[in-house]
Amino acid sequence: MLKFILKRVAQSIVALFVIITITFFMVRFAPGDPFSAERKMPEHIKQNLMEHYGLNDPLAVQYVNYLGNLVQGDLGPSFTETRSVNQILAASFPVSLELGSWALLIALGIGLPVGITASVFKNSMVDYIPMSMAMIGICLPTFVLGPILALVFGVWLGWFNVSGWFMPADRVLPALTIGLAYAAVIARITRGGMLEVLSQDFVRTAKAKGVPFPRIVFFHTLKGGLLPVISFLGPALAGIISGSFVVETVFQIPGMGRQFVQSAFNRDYTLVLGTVILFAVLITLANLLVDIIQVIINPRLRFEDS
Amino acid sequence: MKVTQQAVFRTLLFGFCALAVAMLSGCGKGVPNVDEGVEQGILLFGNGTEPKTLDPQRATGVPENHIISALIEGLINYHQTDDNLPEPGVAERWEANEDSSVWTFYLRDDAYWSNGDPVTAHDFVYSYKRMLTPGFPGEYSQMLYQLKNAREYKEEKVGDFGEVGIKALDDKTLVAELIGPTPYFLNMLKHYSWFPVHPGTIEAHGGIFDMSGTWTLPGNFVGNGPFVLSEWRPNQYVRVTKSPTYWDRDIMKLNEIIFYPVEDDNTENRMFFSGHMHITGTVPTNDVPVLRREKPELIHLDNYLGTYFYRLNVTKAPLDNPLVRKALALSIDRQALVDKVTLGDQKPALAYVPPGFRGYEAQAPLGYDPERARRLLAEAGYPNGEGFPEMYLLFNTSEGHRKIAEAIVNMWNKNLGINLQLENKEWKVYLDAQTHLDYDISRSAWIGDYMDPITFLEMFTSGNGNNDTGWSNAKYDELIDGAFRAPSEELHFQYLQEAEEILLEELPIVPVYWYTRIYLKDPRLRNWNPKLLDNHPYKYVYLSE
Repeated sequence: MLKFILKRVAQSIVALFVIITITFFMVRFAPGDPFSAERKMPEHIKQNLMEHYGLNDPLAVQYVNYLGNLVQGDLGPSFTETRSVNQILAASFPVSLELGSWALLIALGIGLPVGITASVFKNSMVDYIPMSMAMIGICLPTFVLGPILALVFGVWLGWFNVSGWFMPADRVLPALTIGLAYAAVIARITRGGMLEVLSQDFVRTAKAKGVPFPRIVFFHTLKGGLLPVISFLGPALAGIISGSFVVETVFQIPGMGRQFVQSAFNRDYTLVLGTVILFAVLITLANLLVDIIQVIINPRLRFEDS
Repeated sequence: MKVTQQAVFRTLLFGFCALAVAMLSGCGKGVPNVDEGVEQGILLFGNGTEPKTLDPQRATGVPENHIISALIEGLINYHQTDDNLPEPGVAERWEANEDSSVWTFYLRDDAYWSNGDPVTAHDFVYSYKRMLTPGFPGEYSQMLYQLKNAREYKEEKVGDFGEVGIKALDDKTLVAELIGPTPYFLNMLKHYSWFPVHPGTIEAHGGIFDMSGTWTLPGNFVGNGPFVLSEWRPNQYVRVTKSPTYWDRDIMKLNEIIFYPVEDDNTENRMFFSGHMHITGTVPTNDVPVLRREKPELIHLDNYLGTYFYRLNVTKAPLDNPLVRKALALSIDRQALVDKVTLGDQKPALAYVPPGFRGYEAQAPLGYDPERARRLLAEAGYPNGEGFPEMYLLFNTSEGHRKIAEAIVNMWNKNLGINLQLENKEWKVYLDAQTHLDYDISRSAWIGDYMDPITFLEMFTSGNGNNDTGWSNAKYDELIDGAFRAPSEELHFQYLQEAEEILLEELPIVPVYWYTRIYLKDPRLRNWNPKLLDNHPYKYVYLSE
């Protein structure tokens, strides 16, 4: 197990380095620069700024400098904000993490029971109705669901604030918006995984032995049935906790998703890079975590590894 | 390794619970709603985007201006109702010499910084020196080039700041010597690039060249305006509270302003209608007609000092031919466009400079005349559009710009028989293309900085960084230069008028409409008057049932 983890960590470091390098050069090759604006600043002032941020140095020098600072944990100054990239990410990542965690809780809390129920009572109304709703949930994009929730529960009913990130209640609507979309996917994947396991021989044997059905579901099939959900959660986890541009914009949340998209629009090179690096680390970690969990609950993988 | 499934789930569950507790304990208190705001004198203000900086000498945007005007006061203030009129700010009174080229300002004795220091004439000299220091990246420093030798100092042609036309005769007397007669100088002074900064604070936080902007953070910020900065939560709000040291604090009724950086106009709309905002930054275009019909008491459409226009690349055939440019300008039905497409009561721009400048006579040569436009195009060698080359209309990606572009391309097609392709580009790519004249026709806009037409006309002089059309005209340059130095207001306006006539004859641009500022306002917000520059002195604004 340790060997497996070490191997994966080594791979991840190489992947990170490649991602940083590609991103570094790609943002700089994009047309425009951080200081271009509709009302142009005088050329000599722009040159002063470029000089100050080291943007007049040859690209290779900038790249080496950047990596040097990065190793020391310094992601550099932002070109468009008063705060440094470290400060910006330190402020916005916890917000996205919190929102994502609530959303994940909702997604699993709704998705798993619905999927399991649907698979156990397959081809009945308890299967058809939630699964059709899940289909709608998958198709309904967050930029539609978010405003609808805000309009109904915020403007009409007045139960929640339509936007902001101030009170515990402010978490509800945005977390629901993200959570419901994932709940729908998880419900469908859970149903599929469970159905596959429920049709296997050992389940029939268990039934024949007289094991009570709930016990079969929860102790015998759940482990295998949830494997597809866990592989889905790897990439999903990273996406869910790294923030959503749409949801953060609709609900006015100071998270990382909005920061990321804005930084790309602004050509804020260091902020783009900082965000990309954080994303990459998150995705790598989430995948690693899922791999470990899979090895734990799927004995077959353990044999493959050794 | 023996790990059971239950153990995994138990760990995950525990993790979630721990996380939930941690998250809830980190939550702060709520923000006031509109009713609490009215009771407690707290204005809830929709402010567009997150301010990039609160340093008046580095700021450029409208949201920044809204906040900075609450925190800092210049020599001259905006008037409550009329942007053409000056109102005393830090300067209690002032006088100009005969040709308005030397101005003397007498600072009031009771003007204090928020840390208790008196505001002195030396503070202004320090501020302007900071702005004009050659390496200082103040994007608006050219506003200060109106001071004698300011440009030369900035461009390092003059080494001694003593030669720049700004002097403190004593603590309370400031003399500005200008490059020439400038009757509209007081209007320029209202702009935040002329605002003072507190020398001690700047020096305590890294000095003039500090780029981190730490002096602008709450706790560090020292201003002399009606409000002080109390809280800045990035992407959430900026909160300012009434200053205990502001000289005119006794007339102020507002205790606080909360500026919300809401980028999404629909979100802002929901905040307003759910009682969390007194005034919005804008209104979603599609909602404007409905709201005008059903909530006329809430929606406001004020004239705004801005022009929406198309730049024409005059270095490229066939747009190098003035006849073609004129044909394009005359074949747009601007009235139909503002009635059917832009929907916000914008005014058809029959000239370039928007109306509203006192003493400047508006011109209107660009009526809708498709007949004449067709004749002009035929004269240019393209009868009924035959043989007209393929051209692209460039705009930055936005639904609103697309609709306008589609309507105008349609009018040109119907009236002139020519076909244009639409081309949208992402903002910075679009700016890049425009700067490098890599376009045929490009969507543009300009918002005036101060109350003088020169803020619009200066940009089309030869080689000006904001010209971006390839057009240049020696006579035009001469007139603008003359206007900058004209000894009397009449002459100043006369030069500018002649310059605009040339511009509208040559047409390197096609004006489309004059902006309106569209917003929702709680009727309990009082003394918020329509202003061309959209500046509303907060010290007069109040909330009341």
